[in-house]
Amino acid sequence: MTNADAGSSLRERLDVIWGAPPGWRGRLQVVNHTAVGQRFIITGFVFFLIAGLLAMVMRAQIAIPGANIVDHETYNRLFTMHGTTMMFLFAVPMVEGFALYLIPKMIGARDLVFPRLGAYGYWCYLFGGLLLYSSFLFDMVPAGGWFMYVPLNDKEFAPDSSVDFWLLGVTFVEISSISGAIELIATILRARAPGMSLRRMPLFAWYMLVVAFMILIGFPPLVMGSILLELQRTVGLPFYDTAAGGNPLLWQHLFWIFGHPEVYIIFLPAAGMLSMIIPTFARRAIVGYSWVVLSVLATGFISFMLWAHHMYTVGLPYLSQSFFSAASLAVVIPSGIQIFSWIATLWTGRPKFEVPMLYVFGFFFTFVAGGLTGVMVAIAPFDWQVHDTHFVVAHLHYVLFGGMVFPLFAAFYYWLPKFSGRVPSKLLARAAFWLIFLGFNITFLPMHLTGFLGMPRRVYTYGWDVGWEWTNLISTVGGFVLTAGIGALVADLVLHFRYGRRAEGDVWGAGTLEWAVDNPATNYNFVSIGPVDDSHPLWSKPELAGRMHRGEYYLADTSSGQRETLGTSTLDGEPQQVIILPKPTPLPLISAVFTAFFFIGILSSLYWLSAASIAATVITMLIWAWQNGSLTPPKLIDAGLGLRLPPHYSTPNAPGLWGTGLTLAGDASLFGSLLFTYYYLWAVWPEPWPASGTAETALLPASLAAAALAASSLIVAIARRGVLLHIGLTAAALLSVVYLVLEYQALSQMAPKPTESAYSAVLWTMYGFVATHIVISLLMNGFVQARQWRGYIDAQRQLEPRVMRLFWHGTVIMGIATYATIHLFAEVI
Amino acid sequence: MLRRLHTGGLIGINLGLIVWSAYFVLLYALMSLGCRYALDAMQALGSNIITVALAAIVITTLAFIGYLTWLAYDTWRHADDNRTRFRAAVAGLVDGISLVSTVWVGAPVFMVTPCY
Repeated sequence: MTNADAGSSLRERLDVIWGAPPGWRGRLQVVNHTAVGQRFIITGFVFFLIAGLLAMVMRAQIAIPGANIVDHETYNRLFTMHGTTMMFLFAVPMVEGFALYLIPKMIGARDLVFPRLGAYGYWCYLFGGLLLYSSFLFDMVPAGGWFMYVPLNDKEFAPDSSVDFWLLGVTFVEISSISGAIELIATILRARAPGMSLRRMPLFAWYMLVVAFMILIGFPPLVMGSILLELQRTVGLPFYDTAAGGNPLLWQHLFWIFGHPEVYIIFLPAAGMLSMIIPTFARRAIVGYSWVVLSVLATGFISFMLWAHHMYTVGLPYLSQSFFSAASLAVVIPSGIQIFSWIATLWTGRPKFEVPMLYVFGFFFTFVAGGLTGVMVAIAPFDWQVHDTHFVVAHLHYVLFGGMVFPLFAAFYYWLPKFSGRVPSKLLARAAFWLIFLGFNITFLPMHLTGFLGMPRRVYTYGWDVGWEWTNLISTVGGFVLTAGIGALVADLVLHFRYGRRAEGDVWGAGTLEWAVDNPATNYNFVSIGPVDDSHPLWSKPELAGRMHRGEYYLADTSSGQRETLGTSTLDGEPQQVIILPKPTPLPLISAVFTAFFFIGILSSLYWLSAASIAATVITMLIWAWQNGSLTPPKLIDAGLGLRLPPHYSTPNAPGLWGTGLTLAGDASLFGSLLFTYYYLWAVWPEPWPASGTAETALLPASLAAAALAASSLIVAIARRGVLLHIGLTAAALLSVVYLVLEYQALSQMAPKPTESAYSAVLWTMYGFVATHIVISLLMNGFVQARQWRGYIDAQRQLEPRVMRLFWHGTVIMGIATYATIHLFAEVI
Repeated sequence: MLRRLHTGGLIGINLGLIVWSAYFVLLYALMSLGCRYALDAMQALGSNIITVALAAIVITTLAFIGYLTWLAYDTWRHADDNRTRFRAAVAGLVDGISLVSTVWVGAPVFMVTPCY
């Protein structure tokens, strides 16, 4: 048999192993990253089109003074749903979808390391979006703006369920974003091709690594803010009610601690796409790779310290405003480094001017203009003048459309051959670009002037005498041109599936591994996984793609019939394990359906439905976890090229452990938001909070509770295997229940009624948070004991106990931090 | 030990920015708490006590990140493999931008009166 024949036969076997079950039932069970990523992208694009149509109704309404196309309430709903859809249902899912689709192909993996989590994330996203849009059916469409400020969106001013649709729908979607982030970090750090050290990693992977961490840390504050607002609206816990010791600015802080990094969460992936596209068309490696990595890291950190620049007008002291103003200006440095790096790459390369490059130049023009107005609004006195005017609307669209949509469209055209196996029409693509570029600038350039002339954002009409009529009319005309451009782009994308030229191999002559994958991409990406010794392996080794296709490298043996990819070391990409991946299963869909009913139950005040649904979700996930690979004793796997590696579940650094650690990091951010709530409300409340004295701090029962919890952690750490594991875990479970009872008694002494004040509400919410974690820990405890009893845990199979221990310790740390805050701190002050 | 931590892994590479982030939160939180308890009425070293405390934090942070920068530079200079060289280079660049940001964010402490 020749090498080519062997490669072909291997492909047939891989097609069977990695294929989806037939029919629509099979499609619902798909977990492969290529299919899941495509679903994210297509769904995100549909939401983009819907949000665009909402915007066009708004533009038609304010095209001329006194128009009556929609009334003010409808207009409020339109801008709320437009912003919400673009930010939560288009931008973040779209960039995550691209990453889920591309990252394994770029780093030389066959799939993501948690495929079922990716599929679950997609269903959560889809159902969350549908839940939000179902508000139209009930005539309860959110109308309080995409940042849902209180008290406008408290029960008093928004008594129907419209705000609940928003809070629950967005939180549901954020489960998807956070699960995607965990999946991406673990995959990038643990499943790169052999030899792909950090300095050889494609820049898009660096960008997505940073972005995924930003999502993991940045999204939980909004989740916590939403939980608190929902608790205030449904059961009357007064976190944002000034009269009861709460504060509406708390919402603004929590929202913008999420909201400003969100802008960079959207921009950085797009910049990552540019960092892949520009070197390809410049036909040289990027100039200043280390500098670009630096700028991505710096942007990630600095972007978290800008949140209050959205709050310059709420009365912060000047010095505070100066800190945020300075940080807002400092973030220009890393952004500038990237821009100069791209320009230098083009300058020193031999650029080819293909369609994706049109959008790259569209990006340069638009984003730099948006960045410059960003510098203007970063300066507090200027911001005071233009705050909440159309100038800000123009600025944010230049940044977001310029910084994300233009690069995204460049990415569409660049990676389309992977998606469809075809190349679109240049003529239609160019026409679409010019309509979009001109339409965008005709819409938003005059809007700066509209803002300078004093037009506030979010007003549904205006008079003839204010001087805004011409600029608004021009903006509306531009909006229609932009819409025509988007229509042309959609037509081009649709038509190319039938009429596009067949794309063969590395269409653009790119140097990164995704171009070693077939057009369109196969489910398994690579017949064998090749070693990498350069950041552009296809340029340095032109024969690499062919040899990978012929199965000459790692994991070309398909005799196990399992889905496999290589697990490698974090820093240097040294092969360490074979990661065995799950096959198609309906469990992610079933879990997401139950999760949806949990949210529907809260929305419709059917709390029994929520309780039953969450129980069903947990059971589904336990079945999901039970099916993991360690049901059989591990043995070394022949990975090819003379390398024998253990399966992932018998190693001390399996991806599952990483997933748990990352989940805890997100959890810590959620818990940190709750601690912030406590300390913020304490700091802004002028009265003593609470009055000092032992009775109010209940130090004795609380200390006993904390000691019990700490002891449980110690026992969990010691109990490793056999009977000792059973005894230890049972004792730890009992101690955690002791904690729950004693802490309940302590809080009952301190704050008997949670609805009485913001202080009481925070205390009980913190207790509820820790209690929820203890319940999850107990479930994991029981799960580990059940597996031990069935003989699935032994000296080599320790993954589940390790995961449980890590989560248990994380829970105990949060419990102790809660004790330190609500008992020790209260005692000290 | 600090040198190894700083240029040995992903978290260490970001040490400059981690310190900068903690510094930023500390400046903002201390100023807010100082104002809550009206500490700006108290004087020390010829200025109000909040400004003095914040200035001390700025200078200490600058010194520490400056030391980190030197460590990264020294590691980069003596590195005999590309892997270490890359990590030290990125760590040094991160420290550099952290230094600039520390000066930039800290400058208002010396110019603007707190609590107004």
